[in-house]
Amino acid sequence: MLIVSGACAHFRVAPDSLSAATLEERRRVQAIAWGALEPLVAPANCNGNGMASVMVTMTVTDTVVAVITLGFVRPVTIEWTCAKTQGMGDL
Amino acid sequence: VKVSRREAVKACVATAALQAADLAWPFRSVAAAERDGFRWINKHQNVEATVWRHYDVWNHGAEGAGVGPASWRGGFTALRDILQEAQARGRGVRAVGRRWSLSPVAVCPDIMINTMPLNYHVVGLPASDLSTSRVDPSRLVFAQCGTSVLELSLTLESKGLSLPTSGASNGQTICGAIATGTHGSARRVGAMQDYILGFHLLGDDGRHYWVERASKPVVSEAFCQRLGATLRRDDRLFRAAVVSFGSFGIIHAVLFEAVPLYLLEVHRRRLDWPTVRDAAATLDLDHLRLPYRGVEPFHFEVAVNPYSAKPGQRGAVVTAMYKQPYREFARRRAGDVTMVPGVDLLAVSGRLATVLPAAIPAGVNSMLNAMMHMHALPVLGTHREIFDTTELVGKSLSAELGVDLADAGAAIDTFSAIAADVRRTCDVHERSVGQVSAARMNDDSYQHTITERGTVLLANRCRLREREVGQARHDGVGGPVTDAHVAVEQRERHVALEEQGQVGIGLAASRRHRAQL
Repeated sequence: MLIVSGACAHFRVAPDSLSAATLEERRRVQAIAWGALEPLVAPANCNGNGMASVMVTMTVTDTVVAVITLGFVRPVTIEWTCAKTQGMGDL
Repeated sequence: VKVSRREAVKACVATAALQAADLAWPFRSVAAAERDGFRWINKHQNVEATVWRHYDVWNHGAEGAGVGPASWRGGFTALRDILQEAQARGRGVRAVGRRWSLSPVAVCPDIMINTMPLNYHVVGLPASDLSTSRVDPSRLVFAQCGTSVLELSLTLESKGLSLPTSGASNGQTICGAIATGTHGSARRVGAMQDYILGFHLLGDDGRHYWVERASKPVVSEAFCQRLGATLRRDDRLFRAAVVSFGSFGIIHAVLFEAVPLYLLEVHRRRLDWPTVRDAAATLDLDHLRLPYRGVEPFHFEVAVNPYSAKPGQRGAVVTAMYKQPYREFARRRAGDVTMVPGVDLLAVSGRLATVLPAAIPAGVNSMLNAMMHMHALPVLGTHREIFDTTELVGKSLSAELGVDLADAGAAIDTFSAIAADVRRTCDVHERSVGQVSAARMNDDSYQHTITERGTVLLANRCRLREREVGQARHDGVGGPVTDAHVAVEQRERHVALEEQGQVGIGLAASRRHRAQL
């Protein structure tokens, strides 16, 4: 436990042909009441572009909270980077 | 303040030129998203800083204003406006790429600029843009500073071209890699900055220049006029600014010549280190059972397990890549989901190694095994396909030293000897400036301390000095280590630790050295 206490479960979506345009943005979010209310993250920093990567992180603490509340509260951390604009052109 | 008539005229002309340029350029600064009090952190999460103001600079506005031909002007104008604002406020500025540096070199407490969105790039210039016939205009690439190596490679591949080399990764931005002196990955090609022909440099007061070597002029006045830049041909200026760690204005764009697209054929062998030792120092590879006997590989590397460096322990993995003309071939398609090293793998491994240091040799051995099983050899691919994007995330650290080729064997022997010693005496301190620092002290434990810059094991340098092995740090600082050099490095480190209130974190030995200093 001592060794893995800092470990989290991470789930990443990252197309291998895309480069990130921005630094990683992170939000803590919770689904409430067994999903009756769920978070919607709408990145405001992508300058009209899509996202280059998304990572969902679930810590040991998040799991404990979900177990203690019998799933009423399901917290996770969502992290994303924005995609670049198509950069090819003429001078 | 006395101003001469000549200076006054120059100032008026410069102001008029700037105003004229403003009128000529259709895009105002619509493209810089700013945030104050920004908490900045580098890619490998070992450097953090609070920045007065942080900008994401785009070539276009959020509603798409400015997208289209020559949209680089929007980003350039935004950069220029930021510089002028900083100058007016007396603030420093640093432009940053992918944040891969393990040292605080990229940090500026005033204004930091994320240049990654500036990815405009052009392949092929008209002949009228050139002043020489020594380069092929169809292979010239004008790339904005934030264009990633991956983007460049994808574009170039679509046109049957390739980068001459990269830093063995697709992840960096072109200017970030060049400005920090990133190495190459091909023999006889040089480092990334070696193939740069010229660059667009933005200085103070909004003035900007096209800088190239006087000994190798490339572009014409017409090209500079299209940029609105002043042409400067000067070898010394070029060399000083091209690898300047973001301290010589902002390099807005670079120009280089791509090469015809090629394939790399990768071969890998697991061998004893003593068998490889001479080859590593001479690059005479004939006895390594590699294919293409007598042919010099494009890329050659040796990974050594310092805990298995004796005969019979197969402690070395040799990788040789041979350059082939491009041809179509059947590529294996990866699935949508693959298992990759986890974000916390390094941190958990570090903790495991702390609790169970005896497991370190087996861990390193498993990494070498993974290298052998990663591919069904030989592997064929373009430069981009062979060198991946290095998207390893999570906290990490690396230390690198450059030595003369002839000393490579002796250097690795030295590191192997130190590795066994360090395994017994070192620990990982996550909150330490040193990142990895001696935990159990002995008389010379300070010399086992990795500096906070993550670039050098002082112990390695001292031991190498004993063996008269010349060396250079990854950032180019180098030469033989002298007693004075060691003393200065120790003193600098101590001052840095003291300034950050870190003295005393597992560094009892440094206090002893402080007394000596």
